[in-house]
Amino acid sequence: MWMDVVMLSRIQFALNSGFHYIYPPMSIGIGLMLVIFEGIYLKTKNPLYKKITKFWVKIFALTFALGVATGLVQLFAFGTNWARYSRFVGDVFGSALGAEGIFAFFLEAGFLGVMLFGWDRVSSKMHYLSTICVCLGAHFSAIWIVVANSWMQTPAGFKIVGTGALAKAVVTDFWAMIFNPSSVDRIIHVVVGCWLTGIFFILSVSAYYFLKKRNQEFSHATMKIGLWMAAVVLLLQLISADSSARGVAVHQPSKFAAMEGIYHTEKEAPLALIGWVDEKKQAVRGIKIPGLLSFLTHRDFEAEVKGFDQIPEDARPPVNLVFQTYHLMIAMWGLMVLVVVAGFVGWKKRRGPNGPCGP
Amino acid sequence: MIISVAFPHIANQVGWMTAEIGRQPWVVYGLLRTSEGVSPTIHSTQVMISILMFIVIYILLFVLFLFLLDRKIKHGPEDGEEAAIPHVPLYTAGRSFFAFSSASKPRDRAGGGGDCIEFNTIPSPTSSIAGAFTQEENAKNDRPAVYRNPLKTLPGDPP
Repeated sequence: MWMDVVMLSRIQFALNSGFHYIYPPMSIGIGLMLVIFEGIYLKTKNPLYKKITKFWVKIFALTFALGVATGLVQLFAFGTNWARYSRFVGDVFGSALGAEGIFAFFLEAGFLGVMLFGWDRVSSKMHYLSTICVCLGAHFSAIWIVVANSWMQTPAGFKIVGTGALAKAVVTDFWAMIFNPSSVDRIIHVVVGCWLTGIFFILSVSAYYFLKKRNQEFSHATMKIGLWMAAVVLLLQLISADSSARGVAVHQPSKFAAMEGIYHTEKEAPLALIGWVDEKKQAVRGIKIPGLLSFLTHRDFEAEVKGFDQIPEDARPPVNLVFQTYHLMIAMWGLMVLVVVAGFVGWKKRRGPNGPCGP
Repeated sequence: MIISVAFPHIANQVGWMTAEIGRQPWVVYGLLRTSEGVSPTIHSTQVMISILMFIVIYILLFVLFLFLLDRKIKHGPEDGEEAAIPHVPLYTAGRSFFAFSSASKPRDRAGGGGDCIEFNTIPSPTSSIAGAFTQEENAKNDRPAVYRNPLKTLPGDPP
C-alpha cells in the first residue's frame, strides 16, 4: 500500500486540526472586537454599538460551538492514533492540555451564558465583565494549546525516564516547560493571526452590507473600527513574524532551511520572494534578493545562514511543501495589507470633499 | 473586501502547515520521530475508514455552519427598541418606514449618489416602529423623543 499507518494518521490529524482551526481564530478575533465594541457602547451609551455587539455575540456563539465540537476530536485522536506519542509526552503535554480545559475553557464557557443571555438580566458592567472573561478565556485556550505545541517544537524543562518503549518525558521545571524557547513568539504570532481572522471577517460582512446597501450605519461603524484595527494588527504581525522566524532559525534549523529553501550553508544568503524548490537539484528557482535573508535572520548582510548540508538526510522535512506554505502565508499578509490600503483609499474617496458622501 | 475573509484563514492554515510539516520527521523536535509516536495496534484500513467518515461529517458540519452563518448575516442586526433610536442628525432611515407603509417604495434618492452609504436605506419590514420617527417629527407631534415600551424596564431605570 502506498500509504502506511503513519502517513494516514498524519493526514487524519491534519484534517482534524485544519478543520478545527477554522473556528477558534474566529472566536478569538471576534471576542477581542466584542470587548472593543461593548467598551465603546459603555463609554458613549450609543445604542448603535449595543446593536453591533449583540449581532456579533451571536456569530461568536456559533463559531465557539463549532470550535468545541471539532476540538474534541483531536483529544481522542491522541489516544486512538498516537498512543505511543501520548505515552511518551503525556506527563508534559497532558499538563498543558489539562490547564487549557480548567483555566481557559471553563472561564470562556461559564461566562458565555451571561454574555449571550444576560443583556437585560445583569447590570451593564457585569455584562461587560463577562464579555471580557469570554474573550480572555478564548485567548487562554489558544495560549495553552500553543504552549503544548511549542514544547513539541522546542522541548525544555523535562527529563527522559526509562528506556526503549517505556521511555517517557517528565516535567522537571514547569516554568521552563511553559516558557520554552519558542512558546512566547509562537503564542503572539498565533493570537495576532486570530485577531486578523476576526477583524477581516467583520470587515467582510461590513463590506457585504455596504454593497447590498443594508444596515448602512451599522456596517459604517464596524468598517471604520475594523480598518484601523486591521492596520495596527497587520503591523504587529510583521514584528511578531520577524521575531518568530529568527527564533526558528536558531532553534529549529531544519525547519528554517525548508521554509527558505536553503540547501547550502552560505554567507550573504539571498531571500527568495517567490520560487519553486527543485528538490533533486537542491536549488530554488525564483526571484531572489541577495543578502536579505542573512540580514533578516542575523541583522547582517554578510552573516552565514545554515543550510541542509549541516543536517542529516534522515532529519529533513519535505522542502518544497514547507517552502510553498510558508511563502503563501507571507503572500496572504501582503494581500491583507493591500485590502486595508484599498479600504482606506475607498473610504477617503467617499468621504472626501468631492466624494458622494462628502460634506 | 468581501472575499478578504479568506486571506487570514489561508494564512492560518498554511502557517500551521509550515510549523508542523517543518517539524518533520520529528513529532517532538529532536526527541521522538513521528513514526515512533503512532499507535502500534491500528491498521491502515481502519484509519482510512475513519478519514472518509471525518470527511463526510466535516462537509456536513461546514455546510451547516455556512448555512447558519449566512442566515444570521442575511437577517442582519435586529432593530431593538434602543438600537433604532436615531443618533446622528442626518439619519433618516426612519422616514423610510412611511415610504414603506404608504407608497411601498423607497424614497427618491437625494443627490443621485447611488452608492452613498447613508440616506438611501431601503426599508426593511423588520425595522421596528421605534425608528419610524425622526427627532424633528417627534418634536413636531409632541411625542417623546425616544419611543419606549412602557411595560418594559430598561437597564439603568430607577427601580
